[in-house]
Amino acid sequence: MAGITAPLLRHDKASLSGIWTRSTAFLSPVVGDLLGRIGLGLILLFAFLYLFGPALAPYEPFEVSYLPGGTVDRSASPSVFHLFGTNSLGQDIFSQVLHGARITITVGILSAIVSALLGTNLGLIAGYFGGKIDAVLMRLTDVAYGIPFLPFALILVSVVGASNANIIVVITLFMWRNTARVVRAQVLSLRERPFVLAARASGASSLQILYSEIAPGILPLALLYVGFGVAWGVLVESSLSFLGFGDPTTTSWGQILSAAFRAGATRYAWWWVVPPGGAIALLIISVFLVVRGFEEALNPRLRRL
Amino acid sequence: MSLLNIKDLVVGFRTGRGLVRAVDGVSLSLDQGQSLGLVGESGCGKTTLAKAIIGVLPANATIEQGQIWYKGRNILALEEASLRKIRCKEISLVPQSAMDALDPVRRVGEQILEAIRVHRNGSWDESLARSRLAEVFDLVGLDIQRARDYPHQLSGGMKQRVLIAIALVLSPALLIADEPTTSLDVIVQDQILCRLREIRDSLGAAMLLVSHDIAVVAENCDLIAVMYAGKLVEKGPAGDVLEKPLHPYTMGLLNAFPRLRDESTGLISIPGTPPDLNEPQMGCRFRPRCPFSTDSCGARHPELAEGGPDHFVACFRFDEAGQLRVLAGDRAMWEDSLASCAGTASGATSIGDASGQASRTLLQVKDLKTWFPLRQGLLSSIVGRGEARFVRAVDGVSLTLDQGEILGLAGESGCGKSTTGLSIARLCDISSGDVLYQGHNWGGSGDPKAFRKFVQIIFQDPYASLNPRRSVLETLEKPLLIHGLGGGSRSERMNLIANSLTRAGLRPPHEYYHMFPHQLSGGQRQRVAIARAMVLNPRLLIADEPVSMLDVSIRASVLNILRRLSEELGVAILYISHDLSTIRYLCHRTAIMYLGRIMEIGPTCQIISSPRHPYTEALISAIPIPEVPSRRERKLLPGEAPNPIDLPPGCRFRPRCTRAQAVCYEAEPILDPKSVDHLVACHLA
Repeated sequence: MAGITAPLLRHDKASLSGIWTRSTAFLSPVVGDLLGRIGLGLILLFAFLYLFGPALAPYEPFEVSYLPGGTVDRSASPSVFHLFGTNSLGQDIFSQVLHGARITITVGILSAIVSALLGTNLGLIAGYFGGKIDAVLMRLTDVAYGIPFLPFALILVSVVGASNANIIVVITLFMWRNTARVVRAQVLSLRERPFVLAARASGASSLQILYSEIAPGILPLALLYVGFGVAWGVLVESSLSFLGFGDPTTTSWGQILSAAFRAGATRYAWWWVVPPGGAIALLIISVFLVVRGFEEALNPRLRRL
Repeated sequence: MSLLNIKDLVVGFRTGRGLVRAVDGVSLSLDQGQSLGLVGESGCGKTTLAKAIIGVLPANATIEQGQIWYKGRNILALEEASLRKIRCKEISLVPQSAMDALDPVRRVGEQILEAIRVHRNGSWDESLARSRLAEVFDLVGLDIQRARDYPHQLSGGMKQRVLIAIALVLSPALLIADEPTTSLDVIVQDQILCRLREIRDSLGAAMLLVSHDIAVVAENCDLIAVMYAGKLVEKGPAGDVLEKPLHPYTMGLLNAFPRLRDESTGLISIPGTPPDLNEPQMGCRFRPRCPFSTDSCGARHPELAEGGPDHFVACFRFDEAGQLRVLAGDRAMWEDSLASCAGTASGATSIGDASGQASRTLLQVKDLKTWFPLRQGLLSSIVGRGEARFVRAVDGVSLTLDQGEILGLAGESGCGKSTTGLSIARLCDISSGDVLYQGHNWGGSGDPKAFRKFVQIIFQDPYASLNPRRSVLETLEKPLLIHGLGGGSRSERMNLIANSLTRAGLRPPHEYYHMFPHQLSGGQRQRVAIARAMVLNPRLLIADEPVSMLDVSIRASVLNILRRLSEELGVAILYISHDLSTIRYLCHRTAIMYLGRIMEIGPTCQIISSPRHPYTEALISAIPIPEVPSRRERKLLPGEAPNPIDLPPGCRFRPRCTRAQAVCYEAEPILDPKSVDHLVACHLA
């Protein structure tokens, strides 16, 4: 992937102010829009939680709290000691949500990046070389599209075992297909541009053309799919965890929900359900709001006149 | 009272960077039966003015002030409903791009009938409408049988004729033609303009012809109006404007316009580009590019003043115009006004010099064939019925190119000239034949990378041929890195890059290093493309229509750069173009192609002045010349070039040839020397 990053790195020689202008220019489609600003604010909040959440958490995720009398502080409603109350095992939900932020976001981001990398490369190769290579890769994509997601994911996780790494692999196996198709379509158009012919005329090899002429052109698109991928990854991880296929050694938001469900607490302990559920919803919404701004910038057809 | 009277019209566009006045205080009037040509570089507001008249401006445009009076009514004050009644019936438009102006899913005849139905409100019965359809088809020279065709079944020329038919069907009093022939080949352009002129004369309609081509306007219009940066800078009778231009811009445009028959040497480009209308304009708009500007020009934009009978000009120095015209003929005059403009200091060398020298053959192409297989239906390819069919894009081309020689390759679109260029550059697979470069055959085998160091190519569209995500420096460094040139040291590479940019007329080079293609003007982009090709120091440059997408004012400078490359560095250039005027200006020898074959090849001056092949004759006679009255003798060719798929036996030009004899039906003529270096493929030559 050196070819993709090289042109980006080359600009970074500029001064700090240059970096500032470039990043503000980069964010301008998002900042120029109220919803985009809200999304960006939320993402900054989640980034803060990701970095400092575990450090801020007053308790360990599985630490059991006791009442002064020595009994376990079960299912306590929110109070000064437990901001979001406790669960049926007496564990502090506020701390669990803070710890869960890092796990959920990590799974979301990693699965998005890995699947976008896989999908982008397959799309690049299929689109550029065409012919048999294209046919094989695209039929593979069709097959990936044909598999019903949740049932297959459940089987896979139960076979390979429930760990966060496996969950990332499973999500990746399902998400590369979107990126691959869209990237291939874009490559089909880009490879016919005269500058590709011009690069061939300068003596560039196929690989050079693919990764240094065409790939930068689809980079914004691939990044867009990383963005969407984060949202989907979070959603899928939560679903799997909720269904009980999450990594049992960690506390992702989906698992907090799952525990609440299994304890039959969804009906009375709203403090157990609302914080993780709300966090998942807010994270996904904020990612969509921000990515939507970029998509509008990339795809002028979505722009309002 | 005049038919059309535009008074002080201002049209503004709302853009992300504020309001842009594309048309800024234009006043014009047009009488019954008169024709007015509107010329100027792209982005000068010509099309916006035409669209404002017929009320089809884009959504972000507003008419800020002014009036458009048509037959005593102010069009701008009319409601949309009454405006619709005027459109097509009174004022009709022939749009620019024939390719997408027709509805692809409806028969063309239906599209014409629709215009009748809408405007006659059913007062015409169907048979009357159909007879009118037959009439207009006849008028534009189309077979009425084609009315049942869909647009994709028609050629570009036919589509343009259909658009003219739609515009004419209701006998409008004013016809607005916006670059009606720009996308067409010269022979078809001539057919259509000729027809348009006849129609206009017979109907007595007035016409507003928008074109960037001064020659087209000169031959078709009584009056010429020159626009620059949204302002009208000169208007007057066609002959006066062409022979005695009063505005320096008009003088510059005429200087830059390559002429086929004119023996004068050297084209002079206008330095710079039209101003960015987003910026506030101070003083005369042409001042930054004008070689004659004085301090007083900076105060305000001059008003139109009468500089001759019916001849108006917006220039403070119009009373010295006679003197300025003499000065404007001097290249140095224009170069002084902007140092970065490249032009040949030595002036033009006389054409044909190189052919006299004992020069070494650099490239030899022998019987080159590039055929593309036609995709067959699945069934017939399995059954194997019918032999494989091919598009014979290049069908037996032989030519040689000497060191430092410029060979022009001309022909209509689809004749295979670009494919020939791509085949020689090995950017497309050849079917058979040899491409010998300095005696070594590179046709089918050999390391293409080594070959690419010697042969480079420049493409038609400079914007598309530059990677939009690369700066100029990165674009030029890439080929050096690929070929490991410049000794691996950055400073050495920078040296080569700076040299190449300077040679391509981008001076000083470091100012362009960090610019991206979208920040450059069209001419600058093409120079970057030339610099990229030249950075490897190739011996052969293939230039595929390098100036056809550039404005006239900058074409000349790009042509001059190419000429200097061949003169100073001894680079051989294969110059591919449909435009014989630029070939005449640039090339030592010229080859004329038709349906994949060379029909005639020889020294340019001989080809132009005494063509031997009937196709060359027709091609040359179809080129309009900027003169009033036109002295051109035209030899109209019927029809358009067919596809090179199923070629008739005998001479491939025979179906369109007006002189075909029995022998032409039997044998394909071969390229035969008619004099020392003038070869013609015709039985009758």
